[in-house]
Amino acid sequence: MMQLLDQHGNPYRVAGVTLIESFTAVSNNLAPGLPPAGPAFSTDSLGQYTDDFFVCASACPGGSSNTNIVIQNHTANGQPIAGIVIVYSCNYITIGGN
Amino acid sequence: MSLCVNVQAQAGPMQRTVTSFNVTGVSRIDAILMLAQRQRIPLGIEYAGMQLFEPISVRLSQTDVQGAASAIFPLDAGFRISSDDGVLVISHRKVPAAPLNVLDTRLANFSIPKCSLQEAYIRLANQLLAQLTPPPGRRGITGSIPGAGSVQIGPFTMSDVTVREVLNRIVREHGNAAWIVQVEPQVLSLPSGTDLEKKVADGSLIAWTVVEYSNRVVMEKIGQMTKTHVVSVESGTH
Repeated sequence: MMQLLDQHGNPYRVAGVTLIESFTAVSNNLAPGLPPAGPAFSTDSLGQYTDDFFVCASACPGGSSNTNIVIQNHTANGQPIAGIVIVYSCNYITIGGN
Repeated sequence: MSLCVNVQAQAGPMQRTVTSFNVTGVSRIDAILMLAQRQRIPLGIEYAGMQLFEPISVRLSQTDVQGAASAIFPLDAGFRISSDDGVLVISHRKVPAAPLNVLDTRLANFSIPKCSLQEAYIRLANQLLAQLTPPPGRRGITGSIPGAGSVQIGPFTMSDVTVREVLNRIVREHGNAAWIVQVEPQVLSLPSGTDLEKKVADGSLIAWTVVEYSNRVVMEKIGQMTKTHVVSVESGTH
């Protein structure tokens, strides 16, 4: 589960916040193009939401060390919030460095 | 011995009775979403020009879905209303015709496992991008599937189908969902060459979204969000 945070980095436990995602490319060495942005969604009663990340590339599973790096941006009720760096690789996906 | 057969004619979704439908000063997109939500009719909106956001007032009683949709989207204003096997589809004469419309792009195959509406949407987007992306020696997809769906659809496989037909199948299987184009009609034109590559690269080729009627929060805002998106694309700020 992903947790919406307030400006101080604390969990923002509010239901029904509408989130819209978009992506900005940093580098594309694994698969061409940006990930398609998903449809709008909203937080649950804890201010949380699900987000499943995936990668499927012809270079995998050949052990390619190439990566796609994007910034996942969201607006929350129309207001932009801090983006998250997503690194897609054949062997791992990191979300905000984790 | 007697055999009794009770055949009850089942009205198609377009002929379903609408006892009353009243809206005042509501945008066309919100009005049709309200109607589709109440009547539990899957919906496709492939026109997102400014007429979609014009406020209208409608007072109807004892009509059917076709009549109500026609009141919201008058034919003499350029709108087109059709039904694709139970999916109410709203279009407009300004929408590019096949094969110039990206929604008319044919997919050789499209399959989904049992999955959410959101996952089906992402799978379709990726299938389209994969098909239209010239092989540069590295092919593949990355992405995320945000939000938990309330209903599972599929599995199903379709062959030699258009993007529009897949979208209709997805919302039809769901039963209470809509797909909505998010750009002005001229932006729906399928580009080629470097324009296509640019649209694939910046993610703007996927010019539609989906929404579940059960998500009240998003349903209340999707009309305004669509308008905001259309305006931002038009002004180049998206």
